[in-house]
Amino acid sequence: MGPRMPRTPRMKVSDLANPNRFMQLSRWLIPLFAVAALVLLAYGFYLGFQAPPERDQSYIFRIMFVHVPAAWLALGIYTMMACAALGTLVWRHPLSDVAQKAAAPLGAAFALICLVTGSIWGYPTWGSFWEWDGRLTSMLVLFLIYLGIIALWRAFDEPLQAAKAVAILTLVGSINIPIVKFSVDWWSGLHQKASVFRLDGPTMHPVYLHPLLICALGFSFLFGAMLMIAMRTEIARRRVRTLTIFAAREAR
Amino acid sequence: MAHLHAAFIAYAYCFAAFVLCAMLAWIALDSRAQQKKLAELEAKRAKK
Repeated sequence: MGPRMPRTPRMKVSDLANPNRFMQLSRWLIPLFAVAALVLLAYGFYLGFQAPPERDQSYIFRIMFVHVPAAWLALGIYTMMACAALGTLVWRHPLSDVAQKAAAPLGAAFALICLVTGSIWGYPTWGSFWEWDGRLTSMLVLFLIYLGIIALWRAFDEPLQAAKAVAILTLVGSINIPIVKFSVDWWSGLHQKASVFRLDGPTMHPVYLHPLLICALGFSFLFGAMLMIAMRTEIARRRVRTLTIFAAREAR
Repeated sequence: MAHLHAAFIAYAYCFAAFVLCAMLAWIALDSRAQQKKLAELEAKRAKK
């Protein structure tokens, strides 16, 4: 029998969560995600603005291509943060709390875009910028939870201590996610019911649905690129902190 | 009605663009500041 071929090292999924591997991968993933975001958003908005006026809302439905993806991302980012919070508390994974910290301001930004564009859409449609309806109120609560999480990160000097406290707050706050999603079914209000993610399939006409899904994918890639940059910065910040502590010890 | 709608659509898109650009600028500036600090600290360590 001849000599055995050396086994080629196979990459495991868990390697992606290794901070060094993440730094290598993200370096070329960031520009890819940014280009994908630009292309998809340009194509999505182009298709969306070509769509004919809607029966009840005329052209004002065009706000949907920003408002709805922002709402989906605000909910999706929070869900991702809740999974990362479990990673912090259960597995104490080093990238989990980095991801949590980097994602919070992005989630807050998308929640704010959702609230303000919804308000601008509400005025010509409902005759009011704001109503204390279940969907609007629960989305406002989600935005406030994001702000609370950002404030809690800044309240601690030690990042690992902050990560635990934030992970607990994030998990407690995740009760609001199903409330936002099902608020339109549980309480009657001005906000329309779900028309895309329904058990019986989307009720929206494809001429509006396709550009909406393309825009949502484009915004998701944009979020992915921004998250990776923010995570790399957070890793650098922690290295700066460690090196500063070492330098101070050596100077004694 | 259509021109009124156009104004509301423009406000919504301008606001979203403003928030996203502000977010991108903040992320880019923060990243540059941390990389600069890290490079300075590593250079100091290398000298020692």
